[in-house]
Amino acid sequence: MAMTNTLLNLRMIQNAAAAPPAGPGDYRAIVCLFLHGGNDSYNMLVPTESSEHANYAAIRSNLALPLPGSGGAGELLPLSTNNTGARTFGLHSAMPNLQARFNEGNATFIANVGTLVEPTTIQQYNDQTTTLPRSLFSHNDQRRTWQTSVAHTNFKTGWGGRLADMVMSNNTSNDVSMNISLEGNQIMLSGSSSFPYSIGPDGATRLSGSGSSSASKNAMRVAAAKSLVEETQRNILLRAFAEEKKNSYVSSDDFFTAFDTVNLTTNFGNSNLAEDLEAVAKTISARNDLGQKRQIFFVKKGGFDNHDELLNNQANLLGDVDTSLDNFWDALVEMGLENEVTVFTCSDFGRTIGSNGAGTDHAWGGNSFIMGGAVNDGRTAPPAGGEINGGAIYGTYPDQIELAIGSGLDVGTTGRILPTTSVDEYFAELSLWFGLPPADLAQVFPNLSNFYTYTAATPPVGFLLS
Amino acid sequence: MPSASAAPADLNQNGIPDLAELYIPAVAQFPPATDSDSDGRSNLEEIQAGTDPFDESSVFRQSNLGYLNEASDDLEFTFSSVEGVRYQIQSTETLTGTWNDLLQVVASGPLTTVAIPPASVSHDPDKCFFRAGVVPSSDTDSDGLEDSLELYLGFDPASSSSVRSASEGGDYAQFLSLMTGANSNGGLFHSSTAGIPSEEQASRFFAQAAFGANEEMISQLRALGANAYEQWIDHQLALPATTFQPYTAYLDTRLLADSIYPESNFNNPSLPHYVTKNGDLYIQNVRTAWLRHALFAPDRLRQRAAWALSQILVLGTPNGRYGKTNANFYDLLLDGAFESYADLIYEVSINPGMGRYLSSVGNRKADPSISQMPDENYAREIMQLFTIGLWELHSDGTRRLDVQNNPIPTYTNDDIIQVARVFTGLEYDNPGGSFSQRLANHPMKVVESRHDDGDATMASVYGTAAKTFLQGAFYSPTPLPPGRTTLQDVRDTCDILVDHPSCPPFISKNLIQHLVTSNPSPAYVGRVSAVFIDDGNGNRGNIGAVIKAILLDDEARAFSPMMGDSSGRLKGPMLRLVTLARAFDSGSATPALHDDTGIQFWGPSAGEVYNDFAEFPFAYPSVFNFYEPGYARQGEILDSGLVSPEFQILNSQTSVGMPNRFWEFIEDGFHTDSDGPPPTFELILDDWTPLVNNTDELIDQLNILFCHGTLGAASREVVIDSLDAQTSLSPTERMQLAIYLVMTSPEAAVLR
Repeated sequence: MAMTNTLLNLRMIQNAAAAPPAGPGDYRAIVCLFLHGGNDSYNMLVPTESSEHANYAAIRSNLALPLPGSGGAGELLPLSTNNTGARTFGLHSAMPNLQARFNEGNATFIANVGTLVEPTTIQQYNDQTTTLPRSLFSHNDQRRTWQTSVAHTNFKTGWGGRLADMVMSNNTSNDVSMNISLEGNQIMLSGSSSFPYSIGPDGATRLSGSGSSSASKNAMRVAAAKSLVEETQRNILLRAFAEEKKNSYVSSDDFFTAFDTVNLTTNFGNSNLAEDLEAVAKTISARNDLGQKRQIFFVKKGGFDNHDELLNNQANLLGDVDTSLDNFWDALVEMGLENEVTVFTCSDFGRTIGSNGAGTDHAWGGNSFIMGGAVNDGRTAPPAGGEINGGAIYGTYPDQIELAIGSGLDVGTTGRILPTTSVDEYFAELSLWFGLPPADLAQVFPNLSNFYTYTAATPPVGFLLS
Repeated sequence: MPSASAAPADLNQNGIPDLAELYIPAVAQFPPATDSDSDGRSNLEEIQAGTDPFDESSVFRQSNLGYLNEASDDLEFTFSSVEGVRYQIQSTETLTGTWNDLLQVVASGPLTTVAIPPASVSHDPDKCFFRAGVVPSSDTDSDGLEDSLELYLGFDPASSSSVRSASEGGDYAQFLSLMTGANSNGGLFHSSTAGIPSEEQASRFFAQAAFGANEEMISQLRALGANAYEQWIDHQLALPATTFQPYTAYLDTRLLADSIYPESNFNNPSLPHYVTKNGDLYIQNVRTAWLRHALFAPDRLRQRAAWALSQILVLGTPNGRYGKTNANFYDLLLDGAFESYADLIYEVSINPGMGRYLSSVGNRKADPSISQMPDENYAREIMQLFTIGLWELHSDGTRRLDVQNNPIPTYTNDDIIQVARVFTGLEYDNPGGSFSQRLANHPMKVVESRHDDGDATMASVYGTAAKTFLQGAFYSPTPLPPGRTTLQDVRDTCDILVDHPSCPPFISKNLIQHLVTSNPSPAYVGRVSAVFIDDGNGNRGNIGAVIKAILLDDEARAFSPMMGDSSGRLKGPMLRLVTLARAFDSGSATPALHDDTGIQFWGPSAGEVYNDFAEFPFAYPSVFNFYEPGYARQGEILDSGLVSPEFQILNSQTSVGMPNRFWEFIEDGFHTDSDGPPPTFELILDDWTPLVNNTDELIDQLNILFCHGTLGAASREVVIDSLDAQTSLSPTERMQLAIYLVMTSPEAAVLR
């Protein structure tokens, strides 16, 4: 667990009295931030060691970002890394707050992660001697694969849903689903018995009556509307409609009551993402009223499919991600829950290393980041006086041989990088931290055994403290 | 105790009981005397007993004996039963002796216990055997419909007016109505005699072929007489397109000529239009056009078809000043809705709005000197979403499988790289080269020097001069030779894709899902695909003919699919909303399409509406539409291998937000939000005044318009009870409550 900075410590003390009690292990939440469209993450986390950067700049051509301190527009922000030896890395210039989280040990990266069925070398890919994920490079299919974490087939449930199936008994109430979506129905949150509950930035909507009718007339109308979905229906679509309505009517009343009384002092920005994350923070704050010891959230930030205008668009998008997550971090600190809540990013896929002129195309492996007090900063000794804490980068960032066009880890001719860490390993680590018993790993991640066998001493990736 | 037995209903008088026809779709192959599962009971007997005629373990046998124990003064006999089935209880003293009728009972669950007063047994009750037997064709309420049929239909077997008021003929008349027009010839279900559809079936047809119905539309359809559906479709196919751009052109003229329209009056509620500056138009203007056209344009079928096509050929633009782009693109769909699909795809492929959206505009041929390759975006989506889909299909829409029983991808990434070569050299037709709303109706122009024409450099980059793609086991089109122009390459590629064997089933099934049912049978898809392949005149991809085939197919019209356990589709939110407005002639006082006297559709904060509906014209969240054709709701739909596309946007937010929004419209009229301009347009309830206090007939009429006659007895009772319980309602409030409850019922939400 990393130390927070002085200002945050101060805020923690100030807010300690207001924060609801939550002992370590008592409550945990994971927040999936899905960067929709395929984040060009090889421009989010960039090698800055001089020869590696020169290689990067040559192959990215007009899309390359300049070194820290070079004085160019969009120069990378330096990261203080504890586990990368002589290799150095920089962060996209729109993300100074994430840089701060990283350098204080509260954020980390997992490099070149992607969908895989089994460990795959470039030779195996070219020789077609391995089982590949279904429908590579396709938006909706690869989004689905990230969400199911079962790459070889059109799996019916999501890993978050299966995880919830296993841990939902921790909750004192499951009247409102512990899988809470700010983006409607997402398969990640669908399990066998668990299902997504959708809220909006203002929380839940209740069946109600705006307008001019009296309260009693509205109440009778609403009661009748609720009765209409109680009737038995023979047709499966009618039955499903009625079931969805019935669940929603009940849950929204419960959720509204719990959410409505939350009062956080942290100010959030006005972007959709900031508003969604504010709703997540409030739902976390309402966890006791909801009876939830475990919560899984899904939040989306769209617009990353930049076949064109990549540089400007990505700067705006990552800037919003950065400031909105900074608000969220402040709210976690306000609640005293920065060690109990872990934010992690997913995206459809990485993008081609090569440029198509002003943008990049659909590819495969990419870089994700994780934010929370539970991340492993990679330190073996506490920082000396004046030394910043620093953070760690997990997975294997492609070296200058591997990061290439038409060679290295490119599975084609435009720089589609073969992932070297599977999403199964990524999500298994989050799940273990979340409280999934190791014995249940195979049920949640049926392909995990192709990559990892559980031992207490060796986590799947290592980016989280247990 | 009534004897309660009647001949089974056979309204079309074909000698086969209607229930058997409904229950067994392939009735011609399975006459009711057949015992399909060889369990000793004919299919008809099983239907009457409520057991499964295709499952030999599901069978009712009269050998269901029980020996009694005495309990209190009554004797109790328990037997396994099927809900709603009437049983005759008999007793005997010796198993070899005569069985005597004791009483009849209608089962309410899987186990039925009857109490038998000892006095009713003429012999020693301690030595008495009992049995229960199915009473075939029992008709508890003596309304001419046997109990099992009523249960199947969602009627109440114990009431002769459970789904339709007695004054309108009650349940029997309702059944007759549902059967009448449940046939492509407008006649009775499974009857070769053409006829005139009932109001119920006419309303159902318009939920598939238009944006809902009002009483006038229903009357007009029925006035066409026999074969009304086909006559109406043919008439509609011949109507010219009512396009959006006359409205945007009108606004342009007013912008330029009329000083009351300042350059930007986006937030000025006193002005009737959401115009914007620099000749651009806000998207709200085009939403206005969309709703006006959905309600008042005479080419109803075309408007509905374009709405379906717009959800397949998705052009998403950010909210804001893309009004002209969307109006132009939607007009492509309206103009092309009944024409050649390959022509339509070609028009779409050179449309500047699409070029902008899927980044084919400005795309240049490969430049190996700077490691630059063409953008693959449009190349991928034109195949994945617009023409052939991801998987090789049989013509009935089922997937082809390889020897390991795995589905076969239609293309690889190498194919995409090759097709990306085609879409190079397209630019905005604007002297400055940048995007301009004013030029939204100019197709993209070509800069041939930026197009990959397969010269030596290209040949070395790709290893082939010709653009070579989709060379598969089932189809291998001729590669595009070098030296062709951009537009030749684009046109040929569109033709190649539409000629691909997967295209007819892929597009046909998608259109069926948007218009009729989420889960069409392979046979249905196959029949429509065949028309896509050849419209009878040797034309491939005649969309008008495809739509006609979709709507006239037995699976769209007939009553047994309609009543099937998994039939139908969840209506999209916009269909439900326009249905509401149309049913009560909202805005009909000002039905102008293309000037400023007509209705306006919402203001700037479309986001709120979108949150409640998750579907809104021109607010497509991505090229994957509001929902995807393969979405299956978690639970029994997914577990059954079915799909339910529109359920992707039904969640705990929209399930609550949508009825709240409907109530707002019903009570206060359709209006822009508080910042928006007038006028509000309200439901016009004048014609309904005579019905306000006649609860039964009021619900009959709402049932026709919103549920197409399928409102079940239980739901009807909820609505009636709620209306009757509220005695202090004004006539208007009473109407509003009735409308709200009927239209929020599951029967109104799902189009069967």
